[in-house]
Amino acid sequence: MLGHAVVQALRDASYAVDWLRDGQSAAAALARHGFQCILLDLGLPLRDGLDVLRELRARDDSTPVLVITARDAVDQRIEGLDRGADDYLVKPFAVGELLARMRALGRRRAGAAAPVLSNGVLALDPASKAVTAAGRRHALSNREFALLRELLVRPGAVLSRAELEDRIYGWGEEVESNVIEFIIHSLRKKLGPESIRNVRGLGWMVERAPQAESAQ
Amino acid sequence: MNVSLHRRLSAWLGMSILVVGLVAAALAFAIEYNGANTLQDTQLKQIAAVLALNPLPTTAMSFEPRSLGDREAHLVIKRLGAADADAGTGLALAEPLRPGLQTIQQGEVLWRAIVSEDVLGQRFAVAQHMAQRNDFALEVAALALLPLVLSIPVLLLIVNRVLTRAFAPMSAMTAEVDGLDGSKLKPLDERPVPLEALPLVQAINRMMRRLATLLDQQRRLVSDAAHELRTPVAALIVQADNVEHVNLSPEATTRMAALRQGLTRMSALIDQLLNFARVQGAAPAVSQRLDLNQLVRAAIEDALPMAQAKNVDLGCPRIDEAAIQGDPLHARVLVRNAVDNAVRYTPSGGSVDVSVVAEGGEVFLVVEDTGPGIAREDLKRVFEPFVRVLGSEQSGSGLGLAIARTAAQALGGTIELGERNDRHSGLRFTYRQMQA
Repeated sequence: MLGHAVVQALRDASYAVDWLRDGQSAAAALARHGFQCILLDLGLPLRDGLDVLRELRARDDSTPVLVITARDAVDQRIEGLDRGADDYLVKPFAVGELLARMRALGRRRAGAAAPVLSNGVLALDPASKAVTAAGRRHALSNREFALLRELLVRPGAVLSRAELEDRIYGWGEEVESNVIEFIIHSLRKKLGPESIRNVRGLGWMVERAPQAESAQ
Repeated sequence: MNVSLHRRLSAWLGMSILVVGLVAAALAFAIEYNGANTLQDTQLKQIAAVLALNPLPTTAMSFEPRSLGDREAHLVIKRLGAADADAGTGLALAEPLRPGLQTIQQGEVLWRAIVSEDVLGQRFAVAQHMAQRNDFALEVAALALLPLVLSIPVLLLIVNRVLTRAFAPMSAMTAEVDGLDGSKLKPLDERPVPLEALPLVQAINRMMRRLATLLDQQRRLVSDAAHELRTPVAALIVQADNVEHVNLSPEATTRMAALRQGLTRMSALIDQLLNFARVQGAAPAVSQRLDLNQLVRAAIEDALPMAQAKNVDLGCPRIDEAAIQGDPLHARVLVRNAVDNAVRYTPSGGSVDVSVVAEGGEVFLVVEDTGPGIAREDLKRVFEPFVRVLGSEQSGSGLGLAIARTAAQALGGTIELGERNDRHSGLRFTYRQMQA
């Protein structure tokens, strides 16, 4: 049922799909053909998914493997990644996320993982220290760039004033009072009031876009 | 009616000791009293016998207390038939008197006397005050009573001690069984149990093992079922995505949105079921030092999208440095459910305040919302799985508080729900645990 749905979704997204329903035939197909990307469900009949993965990696085959699992216990993830999975996706998932992760794996393989930091609304280019918001490009000061970069490394994560000060000021540098508020104020003026959100009592964050990767 | 074995034994043994002790005391008293009197009679006889060996002087003799320094020794020796009827002894004897021991009444005073003959055949009497003799006998008897009477309270004390000691393992075991809950059933320690109670305890332990197996199977069933549900739900979600990929009529799009919402709710419920199975001890707990602030921050980050979508102001008015000891999974699930629930049940435009307070060696996680709160009569019930309070249109999993409480128990802390004690109305969720 899930297989049918995923195959349909991938075909809709113009991928060519080979769907193998058990561990043995999967291992056999992997030995014969080269693939761009492998989606591996761990709960395979006949042969364990992790076993298939181990055999693949033992052959020095570095095809990206995205493990799909119903088990999200932390050690199981670690085991999957240890055996050579590139990423994992816990059921249930949205098609958008699956496609985004497949694209990310593809980019990483091509060695062209985007250096641009983005949450889907803001895109920060470290090379030019400029940010794109709503199609407009804004130049940033060094402090503005440093602060926005810290927030965009993990969209959705809240950083406190102390953490932001620590990260954008070096050791021994004098931190002026209210400087974080000042930088955020000027960033909001350029990027809009909603661009950086304040979480009362905790700090600031940029929003996590639901399909952050697909926006790139 | 249940009867306390301890109390019953105490009562019976105590009564027995008391009754037997008192009877024994009475008997001892009587025997000693009589003995003392007999002894004094014997003394009189001996004195008379010694006196009879020699001819008696004609005057009466009275051994005064002063001369012997002993009141009980007051003794009157008197020749019968002599002219001086009294001679200052206070004893006037009138013939005829039969020989031998007798009690003589003279006015108010009772005398105990022996009448005998000396070697010359002269009759004489040796007499004592009866009251003196009785005093002496009483004293002797009372002295004999003393050890017995003293031994009664000592015996009672010993019996009480022994019984309490004997029943101590039972009391300890009761406390132990009371302290057990479903997440940590372990057999009772059979070593301190007395032989008589051992079969009962062993039976309880066998039952406990069966129960633990059953509970374990049940937990695993919940966990396995939730895991198994994930695959078909994943299929449904992907299928729904696929349908949206096709050009739909506006009406179909609306209906798809409803379908999608249901699917999202279903996968949230499955996640909560898994969390429930986990905090109930499906996995062995680990104990480590946890930074509560980080847990709170992560929970707030997770709840922020929902809060922003609902226009709920989620923030932290106070956040002290605080660390607790426990399993990270339990702590994470607890904090997340507390924050998530508050945001879920707070209407648009409301606010949720999450505070961490470290005070007096304890850590308090306080989550206050401006939601409808929980009626006093429902406060206990809401911790049961799948219990929803009437009138709340929110669609939680019905497991949030059950999970939070189970996690709290595993962590060794307590949850308290109540009304806010500031000017706002709403629910106040307080979790407290010792600071690590």
